[in-house]
Amino acid sequence: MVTFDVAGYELHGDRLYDPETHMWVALGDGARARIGIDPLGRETSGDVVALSLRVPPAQIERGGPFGDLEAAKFVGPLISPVSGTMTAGNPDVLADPGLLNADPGVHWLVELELDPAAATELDDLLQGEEHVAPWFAAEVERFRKQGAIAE
Amino acid sequence: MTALRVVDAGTVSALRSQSLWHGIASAMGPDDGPVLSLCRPAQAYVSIGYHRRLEEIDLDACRREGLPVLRRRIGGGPVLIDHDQLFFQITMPVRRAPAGVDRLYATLLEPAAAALRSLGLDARVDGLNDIAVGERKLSGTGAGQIGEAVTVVGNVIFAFDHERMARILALPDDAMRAEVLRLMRRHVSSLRAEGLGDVTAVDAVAALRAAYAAALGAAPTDTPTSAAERAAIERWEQRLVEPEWLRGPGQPARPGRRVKVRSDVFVVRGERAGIGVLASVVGDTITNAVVRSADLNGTAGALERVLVGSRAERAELTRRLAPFGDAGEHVLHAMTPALEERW
Repeated sequence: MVTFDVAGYELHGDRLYDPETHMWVALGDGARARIGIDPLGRETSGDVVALSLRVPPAQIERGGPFGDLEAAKFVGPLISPVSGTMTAGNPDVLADPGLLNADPGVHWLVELELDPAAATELDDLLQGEEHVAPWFAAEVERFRKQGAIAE
Repeated sequence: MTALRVVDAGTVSALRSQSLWHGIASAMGPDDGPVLSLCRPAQAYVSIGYHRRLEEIDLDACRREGLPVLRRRIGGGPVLIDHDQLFFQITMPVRRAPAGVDRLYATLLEPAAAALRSLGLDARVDGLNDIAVGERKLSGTGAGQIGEAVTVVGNVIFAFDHERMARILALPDDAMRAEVLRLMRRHVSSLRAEGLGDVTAVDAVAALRAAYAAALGAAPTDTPTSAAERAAIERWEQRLVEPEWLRGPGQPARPGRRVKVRSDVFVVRGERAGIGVLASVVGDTITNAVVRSADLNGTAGALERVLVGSRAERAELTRRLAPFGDAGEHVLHAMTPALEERW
């Protein structure tokens, strides 16, 4: 697994990152994909204490919620970067949402069978250090300026 | 100057005291301005956070006391709400809200602390999201994204019925209930308890309105709810009473029991191999401990003495309890699931 570091955050070379939602997509066999939250999305959410996911099978639209995350008494929706049919939620993070605090880049949230429309949606995601690093570094800078993450 | 819409709903039903701000948030568009909404419930009820298990509430006790239970679309635990509390909610479009949960609370709860200061209390935002005077919490808070809006919710507590709050919690035994009540009395306060029994809801509304307007640099404007907001409120009133909504999204049961009294103050209870442990944690330190077992005599007292003063974390507890062999290990495993919960 190829990883790279941006401003102290570990990112994965085989993941596609969504600049809009701070979620990542890992493509699997065929049309299968797993979705997770990137480390900035996790950090700005706070210390995750609870997680709920839609019950599969469920049609998920790009920009639509596939679950909810609770951190510091804040409940917010988990927004999908791609469209597809949710086929599974990750039982490990459902049982222990704190796993996301430790390593959000490893622990996936849901598995999808991507819709054909997702092919164009994937074009809006970023992959590879040369594309991901500049965007992610700018986001870190933006969140630091806003005081949303520590210097 | 931006306008701050103020929706003061006055005294409303228990259901409306929840649906009001759920509806305002649901109806909010990305270009709308902020809304400060306020209300007081006419009757008492119990509100539970979105992800919390209904099993945390003694539903029989609620029925006996005539307390409806409503699940909210924001976080936090079960709370007793009654007419001695004024609810306030500041709601704004997601893209205009401060980024990051820490900054969201710091920015949108500080005006509530300022309002309490203007009423004569030395209030401050304490920790991430408590509003406190000294070691006493003065406002329950929570937040969430509903539709395209973020809302931060709090209350001004004129008086608080600690005993009733303790009665509605489902707890494994009376010893835990007594300890939760003791810590609530010490750490959850009210305007009346702080010597401000003459402050009225009108005073509190005026203080909140002025403080949020000043903080947001906005001119406060009293407005009724719009037709779109009223429609959304109606939809939430239907949804909030649906049995499926009340059951919640379903969370796994975890061993042990933990009750948070305020940030960094909580009581834990656990069992292992016939050994029961009840412990209170203030800050990061165990301040009170009771160990019960039919098989332990003097050792139980020794274990309690070792626990009190220990940091409430696994490594130190493991070290301190190691000399007690199996009994120490059972105490450790009885406590740690509830200690390590993050609620």
